[in-house]
Amino acid sequence: MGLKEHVLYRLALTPLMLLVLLTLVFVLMRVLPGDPITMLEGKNIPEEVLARRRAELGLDKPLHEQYLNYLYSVFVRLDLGVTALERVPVGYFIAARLPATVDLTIAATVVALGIGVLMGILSARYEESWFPQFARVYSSVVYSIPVFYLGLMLQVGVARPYGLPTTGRLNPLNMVLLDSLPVKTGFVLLDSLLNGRLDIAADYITHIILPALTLGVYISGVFTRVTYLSVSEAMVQDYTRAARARGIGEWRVVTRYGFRNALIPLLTMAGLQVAALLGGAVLTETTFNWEGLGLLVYEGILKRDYAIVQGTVTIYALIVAVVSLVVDVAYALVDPRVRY
Amino acid sequence: MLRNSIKEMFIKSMRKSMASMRKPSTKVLIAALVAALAVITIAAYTLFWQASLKTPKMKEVLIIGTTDSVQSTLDPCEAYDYLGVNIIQNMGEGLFKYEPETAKLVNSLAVSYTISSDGKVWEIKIRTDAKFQDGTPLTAHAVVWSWNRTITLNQDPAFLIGDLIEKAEAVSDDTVRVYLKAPFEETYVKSLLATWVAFPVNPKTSPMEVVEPPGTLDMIGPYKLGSWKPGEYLELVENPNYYGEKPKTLRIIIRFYKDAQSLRLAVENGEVDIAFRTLSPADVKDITEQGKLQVVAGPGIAPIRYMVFNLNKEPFNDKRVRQAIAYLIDREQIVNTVFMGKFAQPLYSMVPIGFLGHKDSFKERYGSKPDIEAARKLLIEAGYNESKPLRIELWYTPVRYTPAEPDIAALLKQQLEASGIIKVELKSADWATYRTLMREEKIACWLLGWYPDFLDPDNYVRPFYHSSANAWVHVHYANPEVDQLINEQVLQPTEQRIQTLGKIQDIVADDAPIIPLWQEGQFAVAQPNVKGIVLDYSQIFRYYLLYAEAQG
Repeated sequence: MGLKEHVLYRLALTPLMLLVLLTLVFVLMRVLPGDPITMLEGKNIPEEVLARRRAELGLDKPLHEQYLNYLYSVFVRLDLGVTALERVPVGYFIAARLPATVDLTIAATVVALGIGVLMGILSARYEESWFPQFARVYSSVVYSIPVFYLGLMLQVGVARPYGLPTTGRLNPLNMVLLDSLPVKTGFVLLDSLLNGRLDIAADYITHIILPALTLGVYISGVFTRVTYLSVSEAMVQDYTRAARARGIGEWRVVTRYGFRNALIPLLTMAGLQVAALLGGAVLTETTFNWEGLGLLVYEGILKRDYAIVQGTVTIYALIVAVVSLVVDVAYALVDPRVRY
Repeated sequence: MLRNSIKEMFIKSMRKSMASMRKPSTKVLIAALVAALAVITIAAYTLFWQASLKTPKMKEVLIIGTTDSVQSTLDPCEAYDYLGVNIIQNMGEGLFKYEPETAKLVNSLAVSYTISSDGKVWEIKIRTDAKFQDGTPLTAHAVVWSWNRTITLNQDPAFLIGDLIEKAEAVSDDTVRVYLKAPFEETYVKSLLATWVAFPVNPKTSPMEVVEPPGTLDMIGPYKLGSWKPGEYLELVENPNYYGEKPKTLRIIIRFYKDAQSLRLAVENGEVDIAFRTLSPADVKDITEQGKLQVVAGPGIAPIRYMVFNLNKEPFNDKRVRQAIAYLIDREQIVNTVFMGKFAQPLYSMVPIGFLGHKDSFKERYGSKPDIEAARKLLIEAGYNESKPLRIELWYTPVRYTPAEPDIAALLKQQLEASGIIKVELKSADWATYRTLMREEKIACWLLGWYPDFLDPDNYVRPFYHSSANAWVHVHYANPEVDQLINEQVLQPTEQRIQTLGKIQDIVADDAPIIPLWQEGQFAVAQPNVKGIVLDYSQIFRYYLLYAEAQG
């Protein structure tokens, strides 16, 4: 199978994967006690009003009928539905929240790769010193610390003393201001630059530091280990010995010959980590009040808003599918030995 | 000659003095300059100082952080959550309203009213200078149209006027005639007409369907909606066509936070000017001790908190068990430990303190301190003892009410177990699960809270104790005498009504299907320069009274 066929094959599998996932989420949400209208209960709203609202959402129909209606709506009408209480299209929320998650995921990946690659290379370069031990302990510790705990520690230990913002994506005044500016893509950094508002861009950068650090540190351990193992493996190969024999400096050998060897596993790991990042983003976003998809799905679950949870999961699944496809294609481009 | 010589002398002396003036010494020049500068500086400073005294520079925008959210829409016919209703209260008003600080019901869009001798027909004269946001004058027709819209659309809170009004008509442009379903008591009627569902909306621009986010309706109030990004922020701006006093701050931004911890961090680092609803009492204690922010406390009734028993389930179908529990609860300990003795008051009736007819019936019946002996006696009579203890599950939900809920549940467990006969197992669930367990009657003893729909004692007795209105709470309490008294009190003159309410409270204290625990006060945490925070019994947080001097 050529690369083109492989891509088409993978694309054809995506709807099937979505179907399985949506079925799972559909069932799980209905197994949980309560429904979206439960949020209105606990006040003396007349029973007939509650029943009518349930009927408006189709919750009075048998489960299989609700399921088929939902699939028809998603796959045929390409409509993710409306939220239960506000009746706002789920697409509106996803469009508003997706850029925040994308930004956070990219920033966290940069942090994770920065820390991971640096620590991995240093471990391989100073293999005989204490550093690899330290890096190993670091990797295990950061991967096992709960994200919300790490976030809280950074909020209290770093943000407060250094005056960094602790919550949200922008100062509230800038949020309102940015939305009133003419150019709108949804990506705060881009919008603020396109509208010539460097102050808003700077505000955004100070806001993203802590969430990106939290999520980035959380997955940096994996990158540290992968880089270290790949580089150190390369360092005992014949071609690196030959390089050394030719008098090439050790740093150059490590970065030029060793690190290259780590690129493929790093790429694989970065692709695999997208799912972990999105999972971690739910906790990071809730800790930092970062209005992304993670916070949206968290609120959706608490409110039992089926449409929000199902819609967000669909988008998550699409992101993971697309990223893994991109990684596959990137393999072929980076490493000529890879064939499909 | 002499005359000429005098003239010459004068001219000479003048020239001399002029010459000396033309060439002043440097010292004199510097002194004059310094003096002039000093005079100018002092004058300017005094002027500016006085000016700043008269008109200090005010902030044009204030940011309020909250953990509340707008649960459904900002359409007055549908909104039924605290924040949504509060925002509507700042964008609109009804015929009657609650006066800030005193929380007295006063005329608002109404100018005067008369009540027919049978008490069933009200004729209300409305003000003629009020306009909607687009400049359309308010008329009696608009008032009637708005009420009909609420009743026709029949959304969640429609019953507030739907159960009150039989028919309404515009007699003239400035007079509304209201036919009531029964000759209800005067304050009761006014409190219902003061609810947001009865706010006039502009018939020219309001559709006959619920307006969904990010929209709202044109009402008569100090603010109008600026912008709204659901789940993130909402902006209110001054309504230039409002007939009343202008808001003290032109723009208000309400920023939504996910939890108390994020809100605390935001107010501490100055991201928001005011944090209102809801920080945990422990956070407020810390903030008070640090002294960098101001903490404003006010009386509160939102929510009142209580314990419910399902009377269809054992062992709570036995009145002695319920009474024993009522004897054991120490409300003061909860208020002092969890609410620092400051942010809540012990509650001995479902009708809160500060309300017409409130009576401390539970205090009179069971005392204000736990009576372990009395409780043990009842429990032993009911067939329990140390070797055969009464085992109960006490349920609570950790997010919906105060963040201190688990601590409160732990205290209650300790208080009940002090009897030596009761063994309590604490259980918790998120609201959706909790509410489902209640509805499916899988739990028998749980904690709840009540936010009033309107500020009248009826809203604190009918939904809990009237057998035709308390199905939602799953208590299964039905006492024909109480039902009848509840029906009667809304029709009685005030003095007689107070007596009836007292009687109802005494009976339900003895039956104890529900045990009132405490009523929560309100508290706002704000930056030191913020002024105008008024927290009173009306529970309305009036944004239009807030202001802050600009710093620096």
